[in-house]
Amino acid sequence: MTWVFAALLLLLAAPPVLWPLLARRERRRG
Amino acid sequence: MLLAELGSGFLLAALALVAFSALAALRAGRRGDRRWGQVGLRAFVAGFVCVAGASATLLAALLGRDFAVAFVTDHTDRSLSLPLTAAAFYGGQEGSLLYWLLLLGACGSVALASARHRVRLAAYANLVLAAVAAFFLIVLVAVASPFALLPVTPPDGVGLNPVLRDGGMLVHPPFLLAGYSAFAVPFAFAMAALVGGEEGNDWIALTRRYALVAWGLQSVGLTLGMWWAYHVLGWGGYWGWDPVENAALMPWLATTAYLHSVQVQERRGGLGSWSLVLVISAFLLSILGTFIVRSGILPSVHSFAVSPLGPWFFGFLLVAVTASGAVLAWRGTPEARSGGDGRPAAPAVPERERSGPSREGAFVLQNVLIAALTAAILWGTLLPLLSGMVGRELVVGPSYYQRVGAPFFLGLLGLLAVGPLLPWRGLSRGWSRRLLVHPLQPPGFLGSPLWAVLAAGLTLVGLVVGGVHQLPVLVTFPLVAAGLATCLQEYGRGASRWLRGPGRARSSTSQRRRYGAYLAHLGVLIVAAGLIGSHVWQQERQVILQPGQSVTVGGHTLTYEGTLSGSRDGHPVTTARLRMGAETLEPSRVSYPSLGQTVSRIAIRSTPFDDVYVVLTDTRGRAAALNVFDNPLVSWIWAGAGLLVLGVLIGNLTRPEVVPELAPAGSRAPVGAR
Repeated sequence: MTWVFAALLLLLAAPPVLWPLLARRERRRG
Repeated sequence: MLLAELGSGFLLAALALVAFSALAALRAGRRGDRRWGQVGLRAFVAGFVCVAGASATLLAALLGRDFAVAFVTDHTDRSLSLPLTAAAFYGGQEGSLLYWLLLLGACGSVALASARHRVRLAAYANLVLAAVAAFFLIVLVAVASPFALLPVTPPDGVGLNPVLRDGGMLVHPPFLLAGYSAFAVPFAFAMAALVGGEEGNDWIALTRRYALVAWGLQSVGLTLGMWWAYHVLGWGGYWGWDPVENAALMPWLATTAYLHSVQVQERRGGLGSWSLVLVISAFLLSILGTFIVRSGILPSVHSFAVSPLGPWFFGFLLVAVTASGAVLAWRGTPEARSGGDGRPAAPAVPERERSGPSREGAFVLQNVLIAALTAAILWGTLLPLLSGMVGRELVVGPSYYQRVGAPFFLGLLGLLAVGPLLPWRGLSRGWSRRLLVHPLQPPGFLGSPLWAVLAAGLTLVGLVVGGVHQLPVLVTFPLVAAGLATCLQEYGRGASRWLRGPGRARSSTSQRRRYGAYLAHLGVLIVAAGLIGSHVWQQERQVILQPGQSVTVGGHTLTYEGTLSGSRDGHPVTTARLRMGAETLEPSRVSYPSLGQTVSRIAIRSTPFDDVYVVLTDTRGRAAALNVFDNPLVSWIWAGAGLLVLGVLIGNLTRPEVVPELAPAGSRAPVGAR
């Protein structure tokens, strides 16, 4: 269960954490 | 059960996030890449949020009395009050590390976010903070998890150590641990400035600000520790030169030196590398302190905190010392690089017209005294360890610290009286002549050192006439009076300028900082008087009294009336009643049969002049064995420490500012002014 919780938390954290990189890619595509 | 797994999940996710944060920050630092810098910061903050989640989970387990969790069973029981049950969070080893990490995350997140406009500086600071946080998380995940489960759930817990079952538990550890963890932030910025080759002055303002936060927290933590020791341990004093006390004092001393040396750096562009050494030393000393507490390698009153984590902290200390030493050797040598910024000194008055003692000279001397004092304390603290390695274990007692520390203490008191009166760059040539011709004028009626001399002389005469013959008092009290005169006349100068000046409504940051610093100096002087007074004039009587008998200490007569039996949180208590004038003092002893311990609860009657301090050491039939102390001026220590912290708060509750230019030659900006 510990690993499942940890993985869920990381999934939850990934979008806001990586947003500065994702936003750049979005802008490039746009 | 599920709660524990959730907590472990939070810690594991936090570890992954701070490790990623370190990598992202490294990339940002090397390339000067703003986006990766943002990613590093966001990962660090997300890691902090996970640590906060783990902390909330542990708190829920404690308050829910989930005895399946080993940490809850080991540090609480059902008889423990709710606030103390919550305080058990940092009362135990694993929880205190989690608390350390929580505060590191909070301070680090705020600091990194506020410095994000400096990409490389923030990125390297992020790297250092994430590395420190990763170490703590590895320990929490792999070695000392607060969420470890017991194979069988017991009906009740073992309970908190009886000594910790006190109101002090709610205030002392949170501040001291917060101070310890906050030292990591200025350390991270100092390392980042070195690695990133920072130029300009604003990183100095940032580092200084975070050092001030750590120093303020540690000041409160140390004072509360003294207050708690005084109220709980029952030996009549507040500072025993215990290794753990020393370990908490040393980073505080190093940061005190830094807060003064950084002004020379800001003003004159000097002492840059030295300031960095001080900031880095403060952090290393705080880790050394944690190592000493956790390893139990030295006998201490904090031995309840001993754990198998000692080698881990020793390893971390070695890595930190090596890394910071290497970085200092690599980048820290040229003065111009680390804070001088290559800005040449441009004296308005030619240097040859200025000579003799200067403000910066006073700061350097103060730094030398504090560094030497810290080294002496470090030597005394580590001596049992070092001597044990080569042969017979040698231990030094309080008398070593008192003998060795006294000259430094006196020197620092002298500097408090003299330093603020000295101008930057030194005295101008005609200074001594002007002083002789117009003794109360140079450089103004309220700027003369003669006020300090007058105050010292009058105090000395007053003490001698009053029949005081103890040498420590005759030496220190005049110095304290001189320091007070110096501080007060600076306030007087400020007030007179304010009354005369056209822009009287203007209150600049530098003035706030200046007068805040003088308030802190006043606090230190009052603490110094309290320390000497309580040390020299303390009286103690050890007596066994039958009901109706009396004891007299320090002019106070206490009459023993008898004992009462009762209970406190379900534990048997014996209370002695003593009458002193119209007041009743009730020292007691609480038994914890399940833990095989008995703890004294001390009765204190406190006034601004002295404390009557009574410890019930034993009861035999109707007789009571008592230690009765008269402790003069102890309240001055608490009041002075309060002023110290208040001064720092008043002086620094503003945004950090960059020093725009060098001070003009001979300017009389005081210690507190930037």
